[in-house]
Amino acid sequence: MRPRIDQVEVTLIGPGYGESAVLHLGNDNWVVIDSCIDSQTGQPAAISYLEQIAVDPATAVKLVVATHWHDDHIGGMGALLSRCAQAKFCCSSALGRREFLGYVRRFQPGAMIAGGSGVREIDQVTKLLAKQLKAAVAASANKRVYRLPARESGHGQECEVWALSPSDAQYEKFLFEIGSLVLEPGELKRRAVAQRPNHLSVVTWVQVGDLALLLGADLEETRDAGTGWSVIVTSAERPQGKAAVFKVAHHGSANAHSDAVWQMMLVEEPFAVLTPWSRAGGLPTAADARRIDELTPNAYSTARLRPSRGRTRSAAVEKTLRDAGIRIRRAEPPTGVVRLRNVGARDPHTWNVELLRQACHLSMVHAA
Amino acid sequence: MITVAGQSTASVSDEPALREHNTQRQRIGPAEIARRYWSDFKMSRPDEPNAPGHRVGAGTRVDIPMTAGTATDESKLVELPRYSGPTTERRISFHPLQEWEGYVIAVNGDTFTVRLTDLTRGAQIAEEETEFPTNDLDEQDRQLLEVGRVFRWAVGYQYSGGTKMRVSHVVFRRLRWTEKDLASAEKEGRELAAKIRWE
Repeated sequence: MRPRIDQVEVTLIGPGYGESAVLHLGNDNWVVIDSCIDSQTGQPAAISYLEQIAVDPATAVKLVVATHWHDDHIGGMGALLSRCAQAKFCCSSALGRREFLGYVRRFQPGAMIAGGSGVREIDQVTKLLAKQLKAAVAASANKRVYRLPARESGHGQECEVWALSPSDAQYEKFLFEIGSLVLEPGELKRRAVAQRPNHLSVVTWVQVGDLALLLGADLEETRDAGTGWSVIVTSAERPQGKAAVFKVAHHGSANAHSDAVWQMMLVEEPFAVLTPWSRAGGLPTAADARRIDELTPNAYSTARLRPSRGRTRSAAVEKTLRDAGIRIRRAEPPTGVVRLRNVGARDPHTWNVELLRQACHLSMVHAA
Repeated sequence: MITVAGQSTASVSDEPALREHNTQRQRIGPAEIARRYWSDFKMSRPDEPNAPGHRVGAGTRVDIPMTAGTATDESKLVELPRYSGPTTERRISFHPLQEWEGYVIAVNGDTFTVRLTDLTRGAQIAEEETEFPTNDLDEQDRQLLEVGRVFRWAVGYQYSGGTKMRVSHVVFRRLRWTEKDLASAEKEGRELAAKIRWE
């Protein structure tokens, strides 16, 4: 069921493969941050979700944000943007630089190699923008990227979406990284390799009256005061205040944790939601989950991180795999949904939590 | 990519080539395709040290360069059991039961981790993951093993001289960037960037 016009909603979907946050600001005005593919429908998860609650993405979605180009945040972004005909598209303008697009173009189907790390989606999106002659919104630190006037919001409060990153230093580092991805003639072709840390991640701050939401993308903390979370926390130009809902950065990893964020940018015991990531031992680790659980009792994950077997195949294939000692598993847990809806205009600070499909309390993320 | 003796198809090299292969197969039939593909091949001796090709599970290696006018510099396209001479060549065939495209996401020393897209099911995204032992690769592939390398993996039946066995083949792509590829990508990137307006 769709939210009432005066209700604010934060729905986090993932992984299936990746994550996507769907926000209702009020009066059927929606924002989608990042895209992933729903493991049940094979469609962009945000589209599946919105259609399921009888919202028309073509008219209702006003802003689509791509926080960065890694394939777990941008799967299906091309299809999502095509369906959201009235939406503005927002990302760092570094993704539209010729150096980066030249890199992206190397991995297209004509180059006879699998794409990767979101390069094909970026290619689709940029082609769509070029074709539609639609201006993209450049995200950069402390920039308002969308505004919904109070008279149109359904609850009488003005809504604003702000980008809190990338900073100038993050932008420069990203361009340096792209510059270092030089390919020489004669080199073996391979899938595009994502660079870490995720310098270009667009952190988003959503303000609805005095209610605030912080969406941490994949931004990691660094030792450099000009990048990572430190530069955001110390900025005097960002919207001040404390957020009641936090999309935990980078799947709850220790690298993305900042005590200062919890102390200075979040209310006490905020709602903290994350999507797990199963690669390389999995995130959040058990220690990460404990750390977040100690910071708030209101922490949720869209899925559990338990290994699940791959598809069952014919007996002959299964026997061959067994004989060779090969075990195939699902790359990511099935898609789950954490939905937070506030009560509405009369009590915007009271929230209802719904855990749908694979979602669970964070303390259960490693439970069998 | 090969069709042998009117039997079915084994791996791999690229989508355009595969389409061309399928078109040809429809046009001239499997027997003619088999004749063409087998008309010019070189066999690596199974006892040859560091011979190109590798296997996961059973099977011996044969190198078959791409023919029939397909442009590629891949030196190794499929691996088959021991080739026992011209009189039996048309009796060797591979019938895939399951195919994946995969790419390496981590090299962990004794093993490497891969993401897999199920081609048999027509999957569009890499939904599965597994580990392969690094030692199953030949020396050449081991040296080239790195994150991002792309391969095709097929499990199926191999028929040879009246013998049927289940095999599992992993074939790494060895396409290389050309100056033309890179220059063309740079040009397209420049043109695309010029078309995007920012606010």
